Amino acid sequence: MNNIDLETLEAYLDGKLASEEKILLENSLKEDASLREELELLKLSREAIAMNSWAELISGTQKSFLKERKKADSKATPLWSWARRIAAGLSFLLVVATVVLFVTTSQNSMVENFYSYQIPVMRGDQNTFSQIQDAYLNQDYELLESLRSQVSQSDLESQFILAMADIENKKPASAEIILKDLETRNSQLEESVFSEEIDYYLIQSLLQQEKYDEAELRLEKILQDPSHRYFKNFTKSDLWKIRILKLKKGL
Amino acid sequence: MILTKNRQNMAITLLYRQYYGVLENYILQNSGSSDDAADIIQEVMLIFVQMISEGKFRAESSIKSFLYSICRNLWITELRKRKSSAARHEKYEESTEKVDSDVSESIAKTESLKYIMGLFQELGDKCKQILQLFYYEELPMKEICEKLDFSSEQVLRNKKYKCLKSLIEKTQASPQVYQNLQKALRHE
Repeated sequence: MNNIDLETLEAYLDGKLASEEKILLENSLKEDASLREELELLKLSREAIAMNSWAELISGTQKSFLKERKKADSKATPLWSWARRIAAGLSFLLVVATVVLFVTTSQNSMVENFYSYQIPVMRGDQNTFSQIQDAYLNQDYELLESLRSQVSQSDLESQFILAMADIENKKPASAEIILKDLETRNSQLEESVFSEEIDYYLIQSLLQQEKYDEAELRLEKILQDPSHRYFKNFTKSDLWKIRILKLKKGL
Repeated sequence: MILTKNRQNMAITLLYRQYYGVLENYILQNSGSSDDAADIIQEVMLIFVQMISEGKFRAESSIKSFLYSICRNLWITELRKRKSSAARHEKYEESTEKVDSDVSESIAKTESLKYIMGLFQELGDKCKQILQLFYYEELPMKEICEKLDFSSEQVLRNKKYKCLKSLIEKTQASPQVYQNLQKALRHE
């Protein structure tokens, strides 16, 4: 440094020099390159000191900003994530529904949903019932059994009543034989005596015997024909229930 | 607002909230990574503060375009330093011709300032505290004297003088700063 000290240069930069001193210094600055350098270095150093604090402030702010942004990014849930959550929720419900269906579906629960056959009764006095029909109406199954041997194979209506009595008496194998026989005769005679009832009660007798494959096929047949009398008695869930029963049987 | 001491923190935070994304996007779209962006943006903010303190921020230009201009210049310089490909070099050649002279001057000056800042870090803790409180916080000597437990203002004044002199001597010994200083003086 020359004979002008640092404090004087600082006072000059801060505008604190008396006017005479200022003129003297400015004259020296014009003539002395090293003094100009010293003044410039002082300016730079003072700036650098202030900038150092700014740099610390900026660095700290940037760290906090990036940290907050990272936190906000991790909290933000994109739309696809919501879709995934909904899908996961639905899948969970589906699994729960399947488990409930699996647990609650049983052979009994399915068979019990079938209606017992009711012989059509007319109002007034015109009703004339055969002995077989009369016994069925009175649920006199002993009498029905005693009459069974007397029923002609060609008496399709009475044969059908015997099959219904078998179902009521938990003799599904016998009911199946009669109903299938009636089905064959119908096709041979090109008739349709109780044909839709046969479809319906065959499913019941098959379920009672755990013949689920055949029951499934016969149920599919009804579900494919909206004009079938028993179409509205079933839904696709019944088909699933039969499949579950098949699965359970295999376990 | 940025020069008001008690609101500096808020001002810098606002700058980050409003412009970090735009500046980061520029770096990312021009072969940079998010780490590159973080380094460059930190320097952009420092240069911006420096330009405001020197009165070089023109009110007619928006803060966004000003910051963008600094960011672009810094990133071009950085890419050149890396010299990763001739094609990239050519690509940015044209852009550098449009560099705002104030911005490029400030960038060059910040390089020198950063070097002196490094030298400042080498000073003792007491020196750093005194100089920071005086030149950045702009506290009066009496207050600094009480804050740092000096026996008298004169003792503090002597200490401050020694500290500042020490920093200037370190700076004088630096050829890098000296060269920049010569250039600056020639252009005066």
